[in-house]
Amino acid sequence: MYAHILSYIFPAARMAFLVTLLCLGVVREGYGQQAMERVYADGQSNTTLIGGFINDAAKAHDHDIFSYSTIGVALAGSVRQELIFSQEVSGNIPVRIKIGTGTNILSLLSGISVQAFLGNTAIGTPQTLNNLITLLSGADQAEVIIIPSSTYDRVRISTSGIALGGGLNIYEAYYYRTATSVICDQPIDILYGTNGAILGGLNIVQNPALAIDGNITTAAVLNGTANLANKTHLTSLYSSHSQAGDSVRVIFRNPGGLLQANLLSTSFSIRTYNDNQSNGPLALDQSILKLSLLAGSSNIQVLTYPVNAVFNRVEISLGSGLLNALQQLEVYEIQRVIRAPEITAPSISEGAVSACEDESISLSIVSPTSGYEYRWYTVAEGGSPVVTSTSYTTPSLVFGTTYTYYVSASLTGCLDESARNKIVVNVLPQPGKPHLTITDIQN
Amino acid sequence: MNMKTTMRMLRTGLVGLFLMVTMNVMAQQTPPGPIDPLGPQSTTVTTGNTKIRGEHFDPVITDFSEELTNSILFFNPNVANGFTLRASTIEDHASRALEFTTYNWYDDGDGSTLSTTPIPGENSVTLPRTGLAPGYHQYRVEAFIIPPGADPNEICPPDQTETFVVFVLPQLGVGVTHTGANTSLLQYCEDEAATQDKVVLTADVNYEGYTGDPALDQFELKYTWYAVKSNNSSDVFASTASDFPTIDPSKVNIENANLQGTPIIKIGTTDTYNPAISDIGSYKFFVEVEYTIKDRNYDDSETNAVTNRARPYVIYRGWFGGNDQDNASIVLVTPKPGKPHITIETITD
Repeated sequence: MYAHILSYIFPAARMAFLVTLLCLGVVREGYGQQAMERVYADGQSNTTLIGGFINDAAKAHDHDIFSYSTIGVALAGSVRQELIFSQEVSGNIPVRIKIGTGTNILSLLSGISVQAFLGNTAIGTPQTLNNLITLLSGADQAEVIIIPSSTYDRVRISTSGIALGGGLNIYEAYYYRTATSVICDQPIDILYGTNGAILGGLNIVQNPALAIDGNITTAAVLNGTANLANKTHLTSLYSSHSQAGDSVRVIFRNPGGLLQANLLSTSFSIRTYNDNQSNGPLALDQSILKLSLLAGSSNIQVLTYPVNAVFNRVEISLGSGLLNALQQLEVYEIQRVIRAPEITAPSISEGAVSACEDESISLSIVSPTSGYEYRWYTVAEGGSPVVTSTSYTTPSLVFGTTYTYYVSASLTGCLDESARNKIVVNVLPQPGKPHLTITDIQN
Repeated sequence: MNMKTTMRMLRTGLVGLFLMVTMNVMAQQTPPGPIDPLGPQSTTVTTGNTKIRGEHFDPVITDFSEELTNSILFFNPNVANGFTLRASTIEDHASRALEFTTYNWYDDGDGSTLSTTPIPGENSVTLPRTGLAPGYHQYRVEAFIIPPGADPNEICPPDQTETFVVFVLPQLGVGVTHTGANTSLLQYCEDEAATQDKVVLTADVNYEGYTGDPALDQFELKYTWYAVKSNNSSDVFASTASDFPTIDPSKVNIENANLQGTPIIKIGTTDTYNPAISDIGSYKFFVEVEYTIKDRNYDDSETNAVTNRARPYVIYRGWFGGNDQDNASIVLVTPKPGKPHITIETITD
């Protein structure tokens, strides 16, 4: 957990914060690949004193990721809101709070704290949000993560004595639990905003939800700020972590015209994150970058790029001082694509393997990832898997038949699966019996 | 089943096979025992195969009647024997007939141990062999099918092979010993010829330079006894070497050859011979031994067979009492004295 917050603070403070969290018995969240689903807080309570206020309190637990409550203090006073889960949650399971602000509250976050509770019993000590100053230096959103060291059933967000101006928006509080039959590679949420000043009347991100709605005909619009050094972002969140080699796919349109592959990395940035920890911008190396037009479109482009680092967020951003920074970008979808599994077999060559008739051949996944299941098919699309395993032994092969097998990967518990990689099995004849006779006797 | 019966069956079979040539004869001969196995070890075509065995070869073979006979080779100490093993060009398979593309041949020696190393450089459809020593020789072929574009190192290894066994008849060493009642005198009286047992000759035959299977007594042998009579016209009992005609065993009909005025007489066909010659004189005897398993005239290929005996090198000869004609023992057929008559002379009266 602390790592997510630490990415935004200075090294010295980062160390101090780390020590603090360790003293609290906080355990780092694991990133084992498994299907997850959100469990949202179902209730709330709040308290306001003197100049504190809270608006739309129920919207912080309505399971709508775009609605929010707002807490604030006009001049002096305090306010707190507790978001309550219907069931107790085991310790060490991170609790996450999606927050946001419409104004710069850069200097005010030190007065905001979050803390888990079990009933009225506090878990650990309150954690202040002042470490998020760079994140919420503009109209922006963030996901705050803490890891209670023992069982909890609620999380409290509170402030006192410091005016919060427009206030702090609290969208939802939630934690993740393992799940089955869920869609894992579709973003579950989206964060957006900017760390710079917004030009008057400019909506920095328009229709952000359209970037994760699964509809490739609708787009969010990302606008740059006046100061190209500032960053405007659109960040998709996934319920599960990727595996090395999974790809980021962004469907976008540059209103100024098609972007060439060699200009992509200087026109906008794509970053992946493991929660709040950035993996850095994608290099967009042209040798592995795939850039094409969306089928049926002449100006919507599809960018696909593999990522070796584990991630559960993808950020598309403008600005940040890029050489050819765009002023606007339409983002139709931000997708995560499971790496199609690589197949191996004895003497495999260029995706094909030879086997003898009347024999079987064992096909295997190269370096299968724990937590993933591999589905073998006999058809390129549709159909049911013939087996789900890290290897597949074919039936007895018949000469004269060319067999093609396909395999996809899917995080266990997830409904979505990778593209299907194929392998062709050529069947070689098992020679029949030869006969012999004797000729040309010299005797 | 004894050997003679077997050979009669073989001859009968050969006639039958000849008549079936136009029908793509596939029946396998009865192996000419006692050599077994011999020839191809499997002539049965895979069940369901629409081709008969001969159609697997290129050119097609319509007559296998000589196959087993040809699998027996004579040994010629002077001229190397030879043959070619030919493999079928298409696979014997129940449902298809793909062409073989390459072969591995193995020399399994006498068959007691299978070779694991192919014969270097022999990968064609034929395997020529020459200069084989007496005894069994087992050869094995495995055939490959390399489809176009396939990696030769990744093709299916053949799981069926065919083995062919040939046998080179060992040379025979022949001696003749005396087994008659007389212990010292090699003679009998002319009037005893029909019944005498004083002089009895017995052939003693052994492999020469070969100790393997099958044992010699498993073979049927053919014996031909000959007598050579001294032809000294002034003394029928003359017995120096020069008194006997010298035979040329390579010539035909030596039994009827009248050499230096005296015929050589063919006088017996068993391994033991009681001379029954009543013509008084000095004699030398020898025996010629042949394997009956394969006729030395088997293919009539001798171009001068009229004057020469076919394959004289497979006729093994032994002289009675010596290693050769000059040193052979002398057997005398002595005359029974005629009736004496008495007259009177020098009478004093």
